[in-house]
Amino acid sequence: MRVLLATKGSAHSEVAVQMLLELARTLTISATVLTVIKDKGETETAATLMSQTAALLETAVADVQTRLRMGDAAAEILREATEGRYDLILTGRRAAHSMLRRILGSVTQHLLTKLPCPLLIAKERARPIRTVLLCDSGEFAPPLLQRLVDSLPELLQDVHITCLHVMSQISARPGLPGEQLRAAAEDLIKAHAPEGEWLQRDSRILAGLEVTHDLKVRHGLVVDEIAAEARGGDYDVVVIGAHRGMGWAQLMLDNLARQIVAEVDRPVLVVP
Amino acid sequence: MQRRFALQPLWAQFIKQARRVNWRKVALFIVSLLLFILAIALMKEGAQALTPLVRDRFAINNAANSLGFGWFFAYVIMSGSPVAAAALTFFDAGALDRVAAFTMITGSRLGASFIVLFIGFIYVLRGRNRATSLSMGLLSFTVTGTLHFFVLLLGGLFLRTGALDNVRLGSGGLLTAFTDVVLDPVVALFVRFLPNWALFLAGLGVIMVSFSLFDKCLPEMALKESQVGRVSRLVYRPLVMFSLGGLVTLVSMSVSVSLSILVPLSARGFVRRENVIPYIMGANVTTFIDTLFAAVLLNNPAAFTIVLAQMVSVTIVSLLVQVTIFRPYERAMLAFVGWVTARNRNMALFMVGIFVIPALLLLL
Repeated sequence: MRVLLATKGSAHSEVAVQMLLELARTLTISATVLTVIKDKGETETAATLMSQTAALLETAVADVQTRLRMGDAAAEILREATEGRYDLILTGRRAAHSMLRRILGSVTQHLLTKLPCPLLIAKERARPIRTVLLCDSGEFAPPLLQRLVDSLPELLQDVHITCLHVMSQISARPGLPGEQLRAAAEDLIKAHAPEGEWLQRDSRILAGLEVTHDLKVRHGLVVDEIAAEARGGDYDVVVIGAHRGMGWAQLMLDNLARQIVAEVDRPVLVVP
Repeated sequence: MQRRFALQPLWAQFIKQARRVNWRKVALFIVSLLLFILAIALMKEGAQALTPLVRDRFAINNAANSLGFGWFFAYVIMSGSPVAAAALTFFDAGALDRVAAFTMITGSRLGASFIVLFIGFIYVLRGRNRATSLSMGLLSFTVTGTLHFFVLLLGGLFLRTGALDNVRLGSGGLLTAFTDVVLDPVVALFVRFLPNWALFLAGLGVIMVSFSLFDKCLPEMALKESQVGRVSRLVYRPLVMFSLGGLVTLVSMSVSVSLSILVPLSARGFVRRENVIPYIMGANVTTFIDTLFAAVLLNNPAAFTIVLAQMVSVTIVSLLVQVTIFRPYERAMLAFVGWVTARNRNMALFMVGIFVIPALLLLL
């Protein structure tokens, strides 16, 4: 797996480095350490940082390279990821942002809009990936699970996956049958509800790959329920779709990926 | 020769298009519009006679009790728009001042929000699930109520400072000519046979018939799940749903009708929580379009300013909420709805509250 580690030497970047070391325990990885600077004056500091990071990674990763780019961080990361044809971008995320940064959008938020490959955002503490919460809206084709299988099949070895669908619907008027608004996964599957069909499809894919899994449905606001499930289930990583959309979709649809990345307190893997 | 052949396809196309138009609905719309204009004229005539009743008997003489009056009035007739129109005619007749008319219109919105809730309540009494039956009505009521709390403050400020006084619209020559030629004789007929106070009630009745006919003009949405099901399941940006709610209600002129239009968007009649709140906010802006038209018909620019202050205030408050505190607001509204529907006792407390509050306001 070719991993692009975007680092700036800060505390949240350290978590990303630790995350990469954890991944290297079980997977064969080649890594490129990328630092993006704003002006030439930062070159020396950046070079020192990259060589320190590379030295640390070389204890667990066979092939480590370094890259220095200058310009806008998000744009340069995306350019490197596209040109280098990486399988995964790995970055940390700052816990708190200034008001201006929140208005303008963080580097991570800008990355989410144009991902050429999956993005793993390391948060809190690095941990081996054993339990995965896969949050499937069911709305986009191909399904999120299929996209994950296609882009990072190695990640599905020796893990347990919980496929979660959040139903945030309410009844538009009284008098409608509303049992599905309170139903569990099994009931929705029995009722052949769209949500049940999506979960069953995911179950078939995972059964075919012999990955242990379970299916869950929660009812409430999408972002809140995903965050609550991630905390309550103590998952090692939360997998979501990038939901970039094209044309009208990008303009009209809410960017839930961005909100989930902000709310969830553990590593998030965003799959385009 | 060639020109004659070119015209025929155009004419044939015109006939084809004309056949597609539902002329019955067009006729209903025209009748509904005429009745609305007639209703405003009757209410304007009759409001003067009711001024002593409103000011002295009901003691509706300040912002608080006119808010309660509009609220209760809307409960009684199960509709907000006629009450809003009544507020303008009372203002036009001098029974209410600007701020009292403004708060009476606000009260009409709160009373109107009760309608969807009331229908849900009936289903609960018949044994249906509380959350399923009441969620939409509760959300509509709660969002409207919380918004209008701030609308009262902002709109009151606009009216007191006269910030919107320069934005005025009168009825214009064409409309005046139409009412002079067509409607005045009809109104004169009513005046001959009814006492002045009854003219107001007659106008109220006619306006309700007008709205009822207008509802029949609305296109029937019979979309299948497969056609727009995916669209109805997606989560849209709040501003998009706000605009959609405003646009749909610009046509329907009723928040409850706009909410019911959401039903056929999914074969199961479900809508996303995330989409509903901004939709209700948008609906609360353009639901005043008919009231704005009533102000124009009254040919009272100050009445126009009152309605404009409502619409501008709702828009500003809604947009501010969406831009600044939307997620906490959304959670708070949904948590409140969850609390009300959690137990019968909570629901009873809420229902008592929405009757006690306007009653207390009336006594102020």
